[in-house]
Amino acid sequence: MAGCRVRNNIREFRFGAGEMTQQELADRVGVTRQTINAIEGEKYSPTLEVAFDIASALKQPLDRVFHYVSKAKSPAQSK
Amino acid sequence: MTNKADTSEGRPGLTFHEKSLWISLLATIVLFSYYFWRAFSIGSAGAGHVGVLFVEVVILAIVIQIVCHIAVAIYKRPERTDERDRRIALAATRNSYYVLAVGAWCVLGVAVMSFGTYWIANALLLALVVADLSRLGSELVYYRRGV
Repeated sequence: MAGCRVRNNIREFRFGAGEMTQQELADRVGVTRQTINAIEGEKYSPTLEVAFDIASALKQPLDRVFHYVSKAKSPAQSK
Repeated sequence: MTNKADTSEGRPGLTFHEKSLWISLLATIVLFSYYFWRAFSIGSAGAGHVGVLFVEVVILAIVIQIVCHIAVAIYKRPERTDERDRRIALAATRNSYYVLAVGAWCVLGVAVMSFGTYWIANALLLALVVADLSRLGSELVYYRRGV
């Protein structure tokens, strides 16, 4: 989706957490596998509650799992 | 042995809810296309006959949806709904509201032009059906393209 500016490293952290599957993460967070897939694919920006739950399930701080790409200045532009 | 990583990374196939939306969309298109084709060809002279046809179409739509949903549920268990489902439903309902609002103005036009109760009722029904189709279509698009 063009308007989704929340980027994430869920996939990397899932593999780092013993190759946790999308289904396993979805079960821990309390959403469907389709929702985890959509978040990973950056087609859906989760609510804060779900974002915190995902970070907690992956045992990572929130800002390592999710980062927001500002409309004014993206990280690539700031380098 | 199943590869854990491979099975988790693929794009999920159609969920129960998406299949349910497709069933509703196709049933509505087929049944109400037939209804409006008959209603417009018969005209207000056969209003009683069209009334019976309307009841038949509604009953048929309910039966088809129940049977198809049971068949799909046997094959694939319904998933729980979560925040994404609710957000998609809200966005799709907003779209259908706009369509319904345009439809309501068209019905007002039909009423002002004194076409008669039969045509006003059918124009109103058409507006409701088109609005519902836009809701179903929007949901299907949002599920695939993101919301």
